Amino acid sequence: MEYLLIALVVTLTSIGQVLQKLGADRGLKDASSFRQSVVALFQWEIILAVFCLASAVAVWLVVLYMMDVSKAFPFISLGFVVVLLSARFYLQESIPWNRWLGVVFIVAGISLLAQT
Amino acid sequence: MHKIRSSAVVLLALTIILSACAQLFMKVSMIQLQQLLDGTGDKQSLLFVILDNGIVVAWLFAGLLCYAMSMLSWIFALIKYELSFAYPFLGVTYILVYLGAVYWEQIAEPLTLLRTAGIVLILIGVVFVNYKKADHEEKTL
Repeated sequence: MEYLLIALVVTLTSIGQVLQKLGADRGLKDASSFRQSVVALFQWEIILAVFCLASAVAVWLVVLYMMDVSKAFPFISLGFVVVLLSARFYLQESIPWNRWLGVVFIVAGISLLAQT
Repeated sequence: MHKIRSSAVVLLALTIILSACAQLFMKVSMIQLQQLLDGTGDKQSLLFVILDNGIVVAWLFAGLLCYAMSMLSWIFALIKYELSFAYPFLGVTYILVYLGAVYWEQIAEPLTLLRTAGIVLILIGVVFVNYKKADHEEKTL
């Protein structure tokens, strides 16, 4: 149950982070004053990102209720694995070897954590 | 705006510290909630009991506030740095959360070899996943 919830958090967080980056690239980069940066925060990408991350936090609180934070928090790094796999198999991108190696390390680390 | 760009390192450090605090504060709030629930058998008055016990709400609020601020400083840090360059530094958050969870008396989670090894492996993995040849320095703006 808690692992299912973690998967949900990871998915919502991944989507939220991509949207954050898109929003930062599109609006904030060219903002030349503080006022313009504040206005740029209200683009749809950023607003949607906030929504995704807010729902992720709500689910995350349930996870924290059930699990140790030192065990649960590193599971968030599964986001890298999700993004990499979707880039490879959904977007058909070629992935450099170092990223696969990173994924192997992350999965190994998480399987160790899951034992504790 | 120029000022914000030149303090990107500060923003990155701020992001790391705020995210770690957010995790720890939220955990403390959930621990308080657990203790509260253990003390009350009557589920009907649950909401009333929670609201009546400001401590759960206070830690939760502190955690959410840190989380929101970490998100904001992360967005501003990304203006200066490539995601692939900035992300490995967020790995420091895993270490801070682990140490905080172990040594903060209210949380007091176990420090075990297995858990430490797992977190170290994940840290190495995060660095490898984000490593990018040559252009992993600051963006040329």
